[in-house]
Amino acid sequence: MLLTLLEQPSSQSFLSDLQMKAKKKALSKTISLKGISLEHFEGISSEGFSFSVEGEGVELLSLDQALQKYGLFLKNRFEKMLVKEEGFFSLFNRGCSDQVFCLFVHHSTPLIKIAQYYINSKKFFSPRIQIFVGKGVKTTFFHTMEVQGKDNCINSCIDIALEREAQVSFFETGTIDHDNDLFLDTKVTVKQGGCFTHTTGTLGSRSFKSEISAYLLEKGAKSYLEGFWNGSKDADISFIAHTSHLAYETTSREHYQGVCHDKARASFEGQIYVDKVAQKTDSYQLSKHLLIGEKASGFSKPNLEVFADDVKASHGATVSMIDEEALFYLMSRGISKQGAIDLVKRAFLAFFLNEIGETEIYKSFLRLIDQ
Amino acid sequence: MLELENVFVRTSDTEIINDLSMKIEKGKVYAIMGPNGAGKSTLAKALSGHPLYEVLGKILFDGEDLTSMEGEERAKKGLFVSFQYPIEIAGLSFIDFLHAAYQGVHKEIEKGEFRKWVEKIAVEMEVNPLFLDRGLNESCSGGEKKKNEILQMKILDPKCVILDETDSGLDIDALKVVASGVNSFKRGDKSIILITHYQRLLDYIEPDVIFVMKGGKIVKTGDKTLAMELEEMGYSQCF
Repeated sequence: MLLTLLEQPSSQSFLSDLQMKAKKKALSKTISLKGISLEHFEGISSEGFSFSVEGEGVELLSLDQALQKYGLFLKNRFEKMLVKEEGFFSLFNRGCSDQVFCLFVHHSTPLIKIAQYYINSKKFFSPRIQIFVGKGVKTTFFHTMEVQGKDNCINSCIDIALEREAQVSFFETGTIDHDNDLFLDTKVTVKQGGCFTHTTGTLGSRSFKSEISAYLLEKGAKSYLEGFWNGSKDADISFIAHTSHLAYETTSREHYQGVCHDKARASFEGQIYVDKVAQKTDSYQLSKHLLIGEKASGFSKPNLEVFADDVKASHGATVSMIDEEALFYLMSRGISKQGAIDLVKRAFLAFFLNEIGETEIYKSFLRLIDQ
Repeated sequence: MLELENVFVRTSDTEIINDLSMKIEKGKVYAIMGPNGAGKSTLAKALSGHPLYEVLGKILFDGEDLTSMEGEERAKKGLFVSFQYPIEIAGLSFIDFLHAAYQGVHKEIEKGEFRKWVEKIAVEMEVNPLFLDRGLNESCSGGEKKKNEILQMKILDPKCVILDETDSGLDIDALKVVASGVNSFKRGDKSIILITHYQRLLDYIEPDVIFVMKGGKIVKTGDKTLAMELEEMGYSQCF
């Protein structure tokens, strides 16, 4: 097992060589990493990987180019954010990443498409994307990942910086052959009056993990994190969401819900941290699991850490089987049992769709839900 | 059209319908009345194939035995039950649900074309077409849910309908709209069964036959004058 191997002394030394802090507590406890073994991989690679960005006025630079043009700014960012990297996969990405893409968005633009394609087998990919969104910029990102082949492991990191008053919606989805593993790590900082919405969905690769950390740095910053899963076979799905309220009058929501069929397993681990200076925080966390089939399982671990005394902070969590009364009602109208299950499942997963409107993103998510 | 022969209905620990037999003919309107706990709603759910109930005896529909059929098959045969408490499913739009139901019962139809047709009928029934995009019965009042049930009935066009306390939760205007919807459904090839506690629905939809249920059985059968008699005397004095 990858996890076991990496906990061995020789691996600790490897991590140390990479200047990574192999904190035991930071290793994921919520994903079993079943079926992943170092022997699966023939090495860390960028072969078979391609990356594209579409969007008016978006500046895409390699790390070297970005360092030349925005050196001081970038170094400052790296110094601040790298110390926050404790998650195992982001540390691993930091140590292994040989491809860094830097995106600078200086002006409002309706849609920016980021696409990652992986076509290979038995490879370990570790790309990193740095995104900088300027003051007052309003935009929507649509990030897609396509993974073809077998036994690949994708360990992708995205770091997003929003300047003051920036408004960003970030949608993320993937088409991934089941026999691959996908680990996503996203970090975002939001400054005064900024608003960040992140929506991610997955069908569940063999192992899927999405970890997102939002830092609300200044007054009035907002983050809305949401995700859904539609896991089948033996998919192992894990969502981890951290929101840190670090300033006065900040707002956050974490809303994750999904369906597991067959032997699929999903877990949600949410954390809302409210610093003592973050008075008037408004935060809410919700996770809901729908299980179809006796062998499917769902786990939720809500977590609020509140150090201020004038805040709204609450959470809810449910794990349920499909509602038999709802199935009966639909069947009494001539809908087959499988059709009824599909409709209930779709209704459960589509909780966020109405807010998107019928766009390309909407259709893409709908296809994911209906698969 | 619908025939019940010595039907017993029970849950795991309680017998609710006890040796009930009745015949429902084409082109007629029936009312089933009775006090609380008489087994009226259980009868409606059992007829629609609710898995909670075990049914013994025979339920024949156009001569075909429905007793062991799933709800889906019963609906396809032309049986429709409007429930007392229609379920809410957030996230499933009314139009998507209705489209799936129509295609289950009848034939494939293009969604845009289907929507136009449904909107027309919705307007006739004073149902706001905006409701079609709302979650199924989500945040609807009791009256709106009942109107939605009747709208479904009109779209699915079954042969036999059982309306379980369709009048409950309706204000006078809504009651008239619902009654008008049901009356427009009356035809020689349709049967309508109204389950109700009160005479007031029968002022708008005139029944041909009234059955009175008590203790899981039919205890009295009569014409519309029986409803007036019950209204005046109450169930306790009648039996």
